[in-house]
Amino acid sequence: MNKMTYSQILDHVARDQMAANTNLAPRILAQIQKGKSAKMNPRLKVFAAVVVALLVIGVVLMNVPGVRAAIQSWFGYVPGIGLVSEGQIRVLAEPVSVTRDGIALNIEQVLVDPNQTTVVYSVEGLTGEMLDSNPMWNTAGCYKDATLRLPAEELSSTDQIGTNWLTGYEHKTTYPAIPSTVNEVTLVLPCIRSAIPGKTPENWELAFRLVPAPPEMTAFPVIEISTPVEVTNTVAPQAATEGKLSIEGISLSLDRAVQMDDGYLLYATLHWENTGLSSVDRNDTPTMHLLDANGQEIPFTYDLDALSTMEWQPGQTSFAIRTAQIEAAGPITFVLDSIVVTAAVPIETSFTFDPGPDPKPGQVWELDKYFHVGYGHSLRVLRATYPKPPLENLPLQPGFSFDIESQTGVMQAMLYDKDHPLAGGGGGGGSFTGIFSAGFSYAGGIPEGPITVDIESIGFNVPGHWEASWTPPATTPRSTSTPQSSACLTRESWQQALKAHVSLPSNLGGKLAISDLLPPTYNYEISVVDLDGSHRKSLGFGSAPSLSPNGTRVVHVGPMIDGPSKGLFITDLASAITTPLPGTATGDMGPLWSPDGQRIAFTRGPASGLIGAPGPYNIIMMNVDGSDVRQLTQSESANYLAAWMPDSISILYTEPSRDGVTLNLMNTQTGESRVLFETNYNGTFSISPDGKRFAFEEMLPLDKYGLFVSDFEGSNRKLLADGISYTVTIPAWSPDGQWVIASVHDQNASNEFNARLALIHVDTCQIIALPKDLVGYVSSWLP
Amino acid sequence: MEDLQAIRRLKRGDIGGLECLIARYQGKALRTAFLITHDEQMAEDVVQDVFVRFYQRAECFDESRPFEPYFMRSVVNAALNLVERENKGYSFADEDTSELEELLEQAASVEEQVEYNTLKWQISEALAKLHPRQRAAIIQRYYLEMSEKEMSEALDSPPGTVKWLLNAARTRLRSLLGLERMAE
Repeated sequence: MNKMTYSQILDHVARDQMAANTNLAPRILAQIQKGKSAKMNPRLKVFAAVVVALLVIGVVLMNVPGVRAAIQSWFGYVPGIGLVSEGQIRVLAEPVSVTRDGIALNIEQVLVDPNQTTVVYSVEGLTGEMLDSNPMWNTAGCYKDATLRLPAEELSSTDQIGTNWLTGYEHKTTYPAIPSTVNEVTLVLPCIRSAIPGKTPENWELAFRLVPAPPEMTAFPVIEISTPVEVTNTVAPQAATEGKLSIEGISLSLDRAVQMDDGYLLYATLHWENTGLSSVDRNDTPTMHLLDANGQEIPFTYDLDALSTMEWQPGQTSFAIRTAQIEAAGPITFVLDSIVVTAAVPIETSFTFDPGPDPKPGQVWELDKYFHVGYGHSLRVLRATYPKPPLENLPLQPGFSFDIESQTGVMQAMLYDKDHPLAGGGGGGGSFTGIFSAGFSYAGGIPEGPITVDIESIGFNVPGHWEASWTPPATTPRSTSTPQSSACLTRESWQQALKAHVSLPSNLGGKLAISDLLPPTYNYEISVVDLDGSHRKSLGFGSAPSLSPNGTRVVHVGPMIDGPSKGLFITDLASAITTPLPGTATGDMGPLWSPDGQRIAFTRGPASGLIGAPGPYNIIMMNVDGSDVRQLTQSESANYLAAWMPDSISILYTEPSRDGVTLNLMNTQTGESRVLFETNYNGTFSISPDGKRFAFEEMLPLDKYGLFVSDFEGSNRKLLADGISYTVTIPAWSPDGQWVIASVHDQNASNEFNARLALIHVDTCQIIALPKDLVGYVSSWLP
Repeated sequence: MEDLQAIRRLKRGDIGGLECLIARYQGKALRTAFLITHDEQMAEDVVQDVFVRFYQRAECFDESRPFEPYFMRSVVNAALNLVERENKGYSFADEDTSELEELLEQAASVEEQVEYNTLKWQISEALAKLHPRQRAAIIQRYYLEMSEKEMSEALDSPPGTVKWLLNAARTRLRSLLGLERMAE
């Protein structure tokens, strides 16, 4: 037998005893929907109460310590690398690459500063059958990190982040600084990440050279915000509190700003040094706001790379955000409405129980002791357990584990017996509410007689108000035209459209085929309905419906309730009879009826049928009765069908590229294919009825999802939706080619599962919100 | 779609992001949970619960960290919590040393698929005899290939405790299976 790793053997053990291809997605989606309103509403109420309390108790002003410890000097922010320290800087002399068996290893960027070495390398040319994510392999892949070989030593990575795509991946890996005397280095990569042993070459070595950074190297200036930042900090102790959260000393600062082409990269830090708190962290995004001088929200997002070159400091939580272009002059203000803390219990909270004269491992004592632990929180200690050793032949660790429950949101607790020497433990819990455990062990044996257990600290969310301001320099270049500023559907225009209740234009109508998630099962269901919401016909479970040109039938993916769809199906609208489309199987998806009604094309993926399963994906075309099946593409990675051309001869499909996908046009009769244009996002492409324009999705700066229309070759792009606050997705053209219908997700909505539907006039930018009872994703629109 | 893209889609309210993550990680997560719980239904419940919780807390996810280790740690902890709760009051049998010796001998000479299949079954049996917390330690170290530092964070235990758990489990499992020879 081949040599195997422990991981592979254990993987086999599990696979042998489990059902293949279990798909939990329907169950998970259903549970999410059921739990949404119950979980979100109480939080909103708590927040409202805090706001009222803030008005009553006033505002406490605090200062960040006047002297910052050890401000590091930065040379600048280098795209792709991050913050670079001042001092001798060396970079990659020239990109290097090696190709083995069609797989290329490329070193793209290297930067050595006095503190560390950063290497960006990529691997390209992978196919799904090489990787362990492919269900056909009953084994685990390889996961060994790359090292740097120097003449006298080998450097192991200190940190690594990466991205991957269908045919490859890129890693940014940091190492200790390469000594200044060493300029010849070898990257040693034991194996391709997640590759099945034997499927890809192993033991890669790629030499590269370092040279002094050239003067023309791009580096954005770093502005140290060195003036102590005055911050506002308030907290609202709640009724019946027997203590007060001591959060004095928690402050928020803006530390530095990097002036980028399209906004700022801002580094912020929560400080809790000298507070005695165990931890302080930011809460989720809706609790954070970046406001301009006029009080308007400035869009921002986390920067993935920014912190990778920062050192972690005890007592601080740092994070970085990328802002949109800041248009208004004057200060900007970063506000946190809530933080997550682990805090000492402010009052002596203890309980006593007597384990008896001869406690036994495994013994349980039911306690059911309820405590107010301050800050409006309470918890209940349900029971104590004397844990048995993990193995009977291992030494016993005498101690107690306590099961704890809290109805107020306490998620962690630390417990101690102060009267007796302890060996360890004390803490327990996690990130979620519910029953959790905490405990400790004694240095000696279990003490005789009753013991007293102190609840020392708890972890929970703290609403409040922290803010930090900074005024960008007046010389900040301002963009004269950004795509966001010219979008049709913006946060404001969509909110206006929702309020306006505009009627449909008299000349606009037709029949839609929609997929949506409906209660009580929240599986995808198909319906055909008129644009005005009338004549709705529900066709049952399924997705991705495409209407036949005469509007009498629908081809669609089958139900995905107990696993992937068994193939494609055709439903007759008049009789509601559904029949399998011959020649289709699990893994077939995205069927589209040709405009002449004669053929159906679709994407054929792996037979597992799992969403996102590794490829290959190829385009299949067949007659409507399932005859004359032809595979149009021969990709090892992923070709997805996008649309039929109006002539019913050519199709449009996507193919992965390094930065997204290319949209390709293929003549199905000749097999000839050409690239039309490339975009950075593999979303929906919809072609106008006259075959001259596209509506498609593309990523915008700050990771916003934009919706565009363009000419056939991708030129003359017009932004239909800017993706700020709302994600606008799955565009489809109206039969007259004047409008695009798309699904709109409110990014902050807590109680809407399905997307609202928007009509966007591609020339006038008029926005019409369709009624609330017409939701989901439109994949077909006929006159 | 890469993990980060899926997470960002999820953060923006697009449930399709979660579907991608489910498709990508449910298999490994189910196997991880199963190896700890030894119960397929419990494993499914665990993975379902962890995905739902991730959905609820997706906004808090630190994008600078890779998703998979974070998620698998959550699966391990959830599986361990569940199996410990379910096993309360259950006494694990004394170690059967004669069985260990027999397994060791068989593992030392495994060459054929048939023998390997038998050994896999015995591994499963051996795992089932471990305390759940030790099972979790084994799975993290040898299945998920986590470092001891990562395990310490994941198990919410001091490094010393993890080392103790792991050393004991490692010694026992190695002697059970003769895995050293197969992995070298």
